[in-house]
Amino acid sequence: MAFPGSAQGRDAAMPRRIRIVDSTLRDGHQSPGLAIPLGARLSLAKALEAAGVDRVEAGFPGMGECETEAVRAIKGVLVKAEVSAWNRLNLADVSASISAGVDLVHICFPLSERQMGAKLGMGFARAASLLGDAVGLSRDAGIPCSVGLEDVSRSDEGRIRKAMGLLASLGVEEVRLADTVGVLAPLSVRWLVGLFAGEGFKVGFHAHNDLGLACANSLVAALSGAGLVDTTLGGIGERAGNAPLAGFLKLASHAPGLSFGVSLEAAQEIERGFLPLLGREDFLMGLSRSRASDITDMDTSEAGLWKKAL
Amino acid sequence: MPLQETAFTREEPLGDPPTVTQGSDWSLDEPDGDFEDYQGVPLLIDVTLPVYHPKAPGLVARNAQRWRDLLLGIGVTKVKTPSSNIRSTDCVAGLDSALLGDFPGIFRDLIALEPPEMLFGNRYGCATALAAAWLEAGGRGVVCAMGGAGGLPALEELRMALHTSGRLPLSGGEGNLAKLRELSELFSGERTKGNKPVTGFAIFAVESGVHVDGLLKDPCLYEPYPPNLVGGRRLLSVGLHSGRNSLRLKCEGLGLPHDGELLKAMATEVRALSLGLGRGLTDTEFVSLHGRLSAKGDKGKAHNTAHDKAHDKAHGKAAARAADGFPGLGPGAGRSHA
Repeated sequence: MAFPGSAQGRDAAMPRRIRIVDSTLRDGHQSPGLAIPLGARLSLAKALEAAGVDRVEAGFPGMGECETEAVRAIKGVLVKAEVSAWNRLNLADVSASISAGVDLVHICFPLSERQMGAKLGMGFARAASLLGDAVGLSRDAGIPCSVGLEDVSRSDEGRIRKAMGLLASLGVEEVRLADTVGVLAPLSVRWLVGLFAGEGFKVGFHAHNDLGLACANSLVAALSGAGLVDTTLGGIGERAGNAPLAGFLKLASHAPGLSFGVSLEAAQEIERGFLPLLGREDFLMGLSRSRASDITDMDTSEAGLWKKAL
Repeated sequence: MPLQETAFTREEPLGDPPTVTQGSDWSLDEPDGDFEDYQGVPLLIDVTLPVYHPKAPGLVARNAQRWRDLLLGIGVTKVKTPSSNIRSTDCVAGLDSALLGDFPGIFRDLIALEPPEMLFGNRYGCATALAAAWLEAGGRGVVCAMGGAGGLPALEELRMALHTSGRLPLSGGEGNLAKLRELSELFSGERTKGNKPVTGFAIFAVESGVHVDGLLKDPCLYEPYPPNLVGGRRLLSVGLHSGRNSLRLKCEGLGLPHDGELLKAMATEVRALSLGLGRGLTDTEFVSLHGRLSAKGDKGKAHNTAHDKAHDKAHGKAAARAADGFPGLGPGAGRSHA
């Protein structure tokens, strides 16, 4: 299997530790049809921690008090794993995350011209100023923050470098590169991660599976210098999903130059235990039956298993 | 060659198992089964038919011809006949672990040799990624098969990778990939997973407020390509993560009246109900909730009539006019995708 000059041959003596950021309770949870009750979320968070996941992205407190409470509760049951929360680029969201008591505030910075213009309705300078305020708010509360470059995959190089300069000027050390619509191919991943890692950023990679490349791209990111890789159980997530925890670890197990806090066996076990309870397959089957109209009366006899399980 | 209009469904008589060889009914009008090779254009070499031959009962001559026509419609210009060899004699095969090493360097050296066919192995589950990287690096001929059949790179994923990268935009052939999915289901006897990249029927379903708001502003914010391009459609789910915009859209799709107060009340109730059920709401549940909250707000008779109609619709009695994806956000609406 080894190629001349391959990573595993070169780094086998000193594997580089990659941190797993599990986003099942945030990006996974917001995929259509999922509604995980709080008790189940706590069980899942504890299981992820027990499996060795380094960071649990617990949710999106900006959704409202109910979600803030849920994130706070998740933080309350975890001892070892870091707890982070996702935030839009606004101070209200960041305040909600701070009040949830998370270890890390993650702020989403829509980077592509399309995202910034159509979604935020503002230019780079205004968005940069908002980011500065949001980072400052988190910092003043004594909570470190990371910044996610949303849709970085559809941003031009000039914009990417501009964002890199902005993050450096704000003293942001950790950046998450988000392939928001899953269109990156491996060569671009390598270039992008290398660019940020080369400037000394702690790089995380957030893949989507729209072209079936989430696992492979995540591995390429890790091999190219990313220190954090985002996953979800079974790859649940928007559209075609994210990088699946066990799937990614299985692939990465062939790269001895990398090490993880989660074993492949633990990841497979947790997916076997929890995925059936999510009712995801039932939801998809329900969609299949209702293709002709809209999401309509799914056969709910097997859905809502969380409730039964609890 | 004109497209055949014959439908291909699971109910179609399958015909006799194939026993013929090259040059008989199986040939696809071209002596070697290849189409014109466009110089300089990334070339996907489809070998789905030989992968399934001769075990697939649905792989009859008519379907093979249909397969070829559908592929031609989306710019796949080289299709191997059922009895062709999957790999030609000058095919470069393997490289399963290249992604773990210096794949840009390996590819650079190989591309200089201009191999006519590259067949990436799937021992590590990376065949599609390797092929995508090869095309990204400027390589050309890649052997692939629909759905990654036979452990080969997935044709539909590579085709859309070429589209999104702008190297080979998909123009025309809207819906061909969905038809190819149905044909390949016939060949394989397996249903495609709902969240399968490109061809899954649920990949354009959306629920979260952030995503629905984004899609309303510009559909391409959260979609890599328009759903209609691959024969898909947007579906609006209502549940725990729905914002008021989602609820408004759902109401409009079901013909239910709404106002700010009602939507606010519904948002709270929808979240509570979803958490209680452990899933999103069905249309019937949504309509029922709407009726309950509307009655509380004493919205009057007209409101109730609309509610009854919506209830019928949710039960499928008015399926003919069912919402097609998002109201006001039909396939291809808004600005064009990248």
